[in-house]
This record gives sequence, C-alpha cells and structure tokens, in this order.
Amino acid sequence: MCATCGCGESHEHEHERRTVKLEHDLLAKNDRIAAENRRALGTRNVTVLNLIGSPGAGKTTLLERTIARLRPELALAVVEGDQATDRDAMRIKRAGGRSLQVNTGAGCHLDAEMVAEGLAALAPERGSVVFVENVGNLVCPALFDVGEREKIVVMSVTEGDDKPLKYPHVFRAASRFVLTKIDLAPHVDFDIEACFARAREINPRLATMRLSARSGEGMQDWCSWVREQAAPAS
Amino acid sequence: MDDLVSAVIEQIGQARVTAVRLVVGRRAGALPHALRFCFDVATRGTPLEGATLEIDETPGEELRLKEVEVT
Repeated sequence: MCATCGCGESHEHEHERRTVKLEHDLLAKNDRIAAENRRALGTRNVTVLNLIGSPGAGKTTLLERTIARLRPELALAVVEGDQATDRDAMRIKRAGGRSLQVNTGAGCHLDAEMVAEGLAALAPERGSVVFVENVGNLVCPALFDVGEREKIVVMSVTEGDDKPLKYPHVFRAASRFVLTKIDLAPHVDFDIEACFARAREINPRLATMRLSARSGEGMQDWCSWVREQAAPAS
Repeated sequence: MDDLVSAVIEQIGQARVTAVRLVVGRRAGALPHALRFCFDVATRGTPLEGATLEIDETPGEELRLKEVEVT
C-alpha cells in the first residue's frame, strides 16, 4: 500500500499535486461575530466603547472615576480583559459599576467571541454604556473588531510622546485618543502637542482629549462625551 | 491560526496538504515570522502537518488564505 495516500497501489507512483483556491479571509470569523454583536447591541440600545492601551496607562482608574461621576444618571458596565486575575473587575464593582472579567490566559487581546460571551453574562440594560477594557497591549487589540461603536486608545504621559509613530496601527484603528495622567506632565519630558500632532499624522480624523483621573482635570469633558454616547433607553 | 487550520479542513477534507499560501498585508498587524512559528505548532497532528507555508506580502491590510496544494 502506498504510504502517502493509502490508495492500495503496491508500487511507488507519482502523486499528483493540485492547487485548491480558497480565498478565505482569516479575520472573517471574528468580523462576523463582531457584526452580530453590533446588531444585537443596536436593538438593545447599548453602546460599547473599546478601550485599548498599554498596561499601566490608567484605563481602570479612568473607568473607576468615570463610574463614580456618572453612576447616578447613567448605567455603566465593564467587560474586563486581562491575562489573569479578577482584580480589575473587583475594582469596577467597588467603584459601583457592573463588571465581568474575561481571562485570556496566554492571549493578548479580546476578540468578538469573548466580548459576545461577556455581554451575554452581563446582560446590560437598555440605554447603558459598556466599556470593553481590552488586555493591556498597544498592538493586537487594534486588529480585532469586537462590535464596538468606537475604539479609544488610552495612553499616559509617562509612556513617551513618540508612541503614535511607534505603534501606528492602534492609532489608525481608533477614533479617539485619550491622554491620561496629565497631572504628571510637568515631571516628565512629554510634549503633549507634539504627541497629538504625531497621532494626527497617522490618523487625521483622530479626536484627542487630555485628562487626569487623579486630579479631575479634563474629566468633565470626558464624562460629557461618554454621556452623549448613550442611546435613549426606549 | 486555528481558524486557518479549520478553514482548510472545511474546504478540502482530510487530503494531505503540502503547501499553504497566505497573503499578508504589511498593515495587517500579523508578522510573517510569527505566523511561521505558530504554523508549525498549530498544524501538528492535522492534515496540514509538514506543509510549507508561503507568504505573499502586500502593502495592504489583508490577511487572507489564498490557496493550498494537496496531494
């Protein structure tokens, strides 16, 4: 028997090689689930905002302070993505928000399927805003649509003002750039205007905001913008 | 990478695959080097095991499985 194909021929024979055209988009499965998330969220009047930034950029602190300011008037929930632990989900709960932790293990981003499962478990109420706090990473999360209304890149002044040039994909995929920890700007060599200019060089349509969750500077503008993203409950 | 393996098996069944051709845009965020590394791990124990991975790089954002060669 031929060892290659098990065809029963006792002699060595030429195996015909043929080429099969597949033309399969490898991100298609994620995009399909993301489109389904977007459709389901639309019918429930739920807005999803996908926060992407490095570990330590201040994403969780920003969400804690946002919840504290908006909680009485706006229902907020968070799908927390981290490789391990439920520490961030617990922080959100302590701040008064609803949260669900997704642990990705070795994974470096949240995909549409993980977010679909997170949303199913959270069952956000009509008119609410759900933040997806992506796994701390400026690279891979940029590639994955999870069904969000907007991708928001969160970066702090301690990270260096040339990051938009070094990590262009995420700045291209995002529609908003939130610069955090501006209370620390006087202590670090960070040129805010140069950083924003570099970001707009990558993506001319990128909206920019600056704030400090700790001092409260800029938080009012940010919270007003978040409030505007919410759809009416009915 | 698991999506790639399942997409191939879905289309061609259990025929043995000798080559896989991908089109990877430079702006797709997927590094050919990393893809090659994952490919060997992800194809182990599947009909794609031992296949060569050929990558056409383009300037765009696409990440596409173009074709496979089977025997």
